[in-house]
Amino acid sequence: MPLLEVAHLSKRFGGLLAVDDVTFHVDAGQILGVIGPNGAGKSTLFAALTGFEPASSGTWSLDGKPLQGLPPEAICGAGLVRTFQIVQPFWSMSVLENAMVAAVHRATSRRHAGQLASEALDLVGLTAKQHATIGSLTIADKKALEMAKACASGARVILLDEVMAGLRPSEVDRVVDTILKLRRERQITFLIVEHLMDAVMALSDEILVLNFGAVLAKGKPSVIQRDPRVIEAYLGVVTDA
Amino acid sequence: MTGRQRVVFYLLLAVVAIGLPWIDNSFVLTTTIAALYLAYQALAWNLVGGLAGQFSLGNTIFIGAGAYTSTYLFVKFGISPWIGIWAGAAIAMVLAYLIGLLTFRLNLRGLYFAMVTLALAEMAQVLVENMPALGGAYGLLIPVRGTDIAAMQFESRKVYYYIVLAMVVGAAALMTFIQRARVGLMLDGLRENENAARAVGVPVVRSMQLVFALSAFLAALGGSFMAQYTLFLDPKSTFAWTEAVLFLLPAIVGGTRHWSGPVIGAFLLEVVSDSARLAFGASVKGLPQIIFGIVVILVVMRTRGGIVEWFVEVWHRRRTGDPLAKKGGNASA
Repeated sequence: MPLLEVAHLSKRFGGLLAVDDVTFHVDAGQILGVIGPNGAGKSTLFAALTGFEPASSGTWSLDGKPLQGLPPEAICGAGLVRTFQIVQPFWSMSVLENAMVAAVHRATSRRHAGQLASEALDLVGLTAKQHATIGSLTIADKKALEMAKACASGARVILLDEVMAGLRPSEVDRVVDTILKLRRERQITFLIVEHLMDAVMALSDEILVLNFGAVLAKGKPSVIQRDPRVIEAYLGVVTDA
Repeated sequence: MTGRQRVVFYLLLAVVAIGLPWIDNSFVLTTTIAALYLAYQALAWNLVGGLAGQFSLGNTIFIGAGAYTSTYLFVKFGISPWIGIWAGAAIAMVLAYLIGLLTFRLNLRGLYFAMVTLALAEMAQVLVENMPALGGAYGLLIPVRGTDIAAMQFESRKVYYYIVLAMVVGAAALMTFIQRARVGLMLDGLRENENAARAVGVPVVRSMQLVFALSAFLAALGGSFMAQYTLFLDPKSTFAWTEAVLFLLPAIVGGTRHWSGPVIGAFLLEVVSDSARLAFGASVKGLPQIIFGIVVILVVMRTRGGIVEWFVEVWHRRRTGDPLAKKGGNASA
């Protein structure tokens, strides 16, 4: 039973078709890697799915609930949450308060929001820094905080936009561990846009390849890695001069 | 401050506030009423301008809605202002809801929100000026009844003092309540980064509409109070954009994150403005306004976040000896 179903999603910016008739689905608990060359429409796909860029056409649903046309906060409320390519913490607040803002829409009280936030921070390993200011966090911590916020907001599906970019190898391992932990303990489903091929291939159950906004291929990582169309899209066509 | 210091501080404040009329000085009383009214309207504005970060220049619409409703009902139908003020506040809330529909849903933020609310206030002025029933450009006079509790008229200014004092306390309590409620957390998030807040489920438009309506509610009650206090009301001075600016300055100068900000700002501005007028008003034309402007600029330049935030920072620095010490996150205010 697919958890997230996307059908014929398109997003047009004037004459540019940034997302072109994209159809796919993700099963509950799956990790779907979304890859493609720069400008393939990955971030636009995330923005459209979460209501930040209104889709030009197409439908998508989470657990049978249609989400097209809803504003971002309602899509989050339904359980589909994105993180941003460039981290967007609330700078003047502490780590805990950041997660509390994310939890508050589904909390019955401020105290309840605090509990939900603490649980989320615990899952991503930020409990020790919950009273720290955002300015004192490392970039890896800030990315972990983005995941904690998504988790605290009650996400069933998290769309991670380049959460590993700019991290050292040890930090990438930590992100991978966190993703697996969230899936294991919270049954969270992931869509991850990532340029780090090793990590995304190791982590994903399936890979969705976008090129010029359209779906080029979808399948198991091992199959995708050998797909000539994918290799061509990334490396270009080898022609005899 | 420790718990005990806080209790002592608030007790002293209450004694001063309640005992002030016993000084029996008409000038002090009049000035304090003016300062308290300024503080009250600044607190009303601060709900939407400070807590939600939406720079309203249209709160005069709600002040006018309150003032004109209670006055019109009294003058035309003899309905007691004690009832009229609530009718005015209700109308102001409806207006705020409609303006919110127009602006918040259309994503008009920042400068655009300020400009739209300013334009609507100008429209309100023109509209009222052309309504004979509301006295047109001449305005409305409330018939003087001496001391008549049902007509909300009192010969003694002390009564007005206690009414506006209670209104300031009520507005400060409402602000603090909002800050400590769930919606306070939502406002903290959306004020700082609206997209990030929406991404994690904060109902941005609903939160803004709520505080905008509450801001309008308070502003309208204030408008009715002022009409009863001066027993006169006209469109030009009610809806003037200078009024809108005057009522937000105390929050900017004093600080927007704690109820004491708009109150301290209001008293500072009132004292500066009155003493400058007393000293130079008769001799050098325009100098009082220039002094007022310079004080506003200096305070804003020196303190950024307002007097209260600056004071808290200095206090912490003194106590901890840490030059970088800053009161941790504002959401726990």
